[in-house]
Amino acid sequence: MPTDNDRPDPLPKEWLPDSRVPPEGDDAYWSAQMSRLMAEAEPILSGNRREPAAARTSWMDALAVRWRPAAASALALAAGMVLAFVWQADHNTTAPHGRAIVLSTIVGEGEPAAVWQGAGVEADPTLAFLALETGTAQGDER
Amino acid sequence: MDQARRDPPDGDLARRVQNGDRDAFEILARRYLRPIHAVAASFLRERADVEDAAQETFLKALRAIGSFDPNRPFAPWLYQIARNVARNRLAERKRHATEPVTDLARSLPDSAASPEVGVEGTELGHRIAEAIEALPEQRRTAFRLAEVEGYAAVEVARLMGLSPGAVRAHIHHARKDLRARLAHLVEDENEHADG
Repeated sequence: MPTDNDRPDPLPKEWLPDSRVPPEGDDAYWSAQMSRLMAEAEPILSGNRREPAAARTSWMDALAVRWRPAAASALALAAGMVLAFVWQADHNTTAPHGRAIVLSTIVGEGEPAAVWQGAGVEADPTLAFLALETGTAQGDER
Repeated sequence: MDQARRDPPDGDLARRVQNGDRDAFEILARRYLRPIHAVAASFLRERADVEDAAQETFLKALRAIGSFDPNRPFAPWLYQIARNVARNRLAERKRHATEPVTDLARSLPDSAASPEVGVEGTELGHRIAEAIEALPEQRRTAFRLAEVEGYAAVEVARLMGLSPGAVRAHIHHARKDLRARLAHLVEDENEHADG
């Protein structure tokens, strides 16, 4: 960064090219330029008046402005979907309804025929008791 | 308060232009018409080209005003548009310059040529213009705006979206470059004058 001490002297006036822009005080020139500009700008300005900036914004512009609420909504939606998925998975892993009744029957009433009934077999209560007793005895022997 | 009403900030005006306010556009255009001409003049030689580029800059800005954020500085945004417009026009000029000379152009009398060419005493001016054009873009623009068009470094900085220090550095390097490039030409000129 140059300092005041090492700043080179301005170039000699004769080295500088003439300005290509008329001076500020040349009112006639600048008025003509302004008239030309305003004439060409008028149709664009009328278009802007009919369709104000707010109405012109596309969905991308709207997203750019409102990205925070949009991101929060998307996050909430994703969290909801994950929760629903987890709940569904948990629901699927619980024991089938019929088997739960059979087990409760055994626990509650000690009825061996209910075990067979749970498996869809109509069993005689005595045979069912004997089969259960035999199985238990064999298990004890081992 | 009165001052603010007389010279509303660029951002307020830009917001009004976004809703089609003609007066706001006129105030902005008056404020930046000459500086934008000066930017265009740092790229283009012909006055007519400079004028067309300046007009095109404002019209492009007006069409794109909906995408402008009024909370950001307006001048550097407009400057970038002016720069692109002028660059494109310059490229177009150069493309046309490399095209073969047409019969019509050949038939033009010599007086239609640029007044700088072949006129006694302007060869140095022509070389100076070339040396300035050879400067890197930002350096050249900062130099022309400050040294040729007479804008203060702070005004140039505001327009170009740079710090005043950066603009002063550009001007510093431009002066140094031009001195180095032009020194021998000036010596030659002086020798001719003495001889």
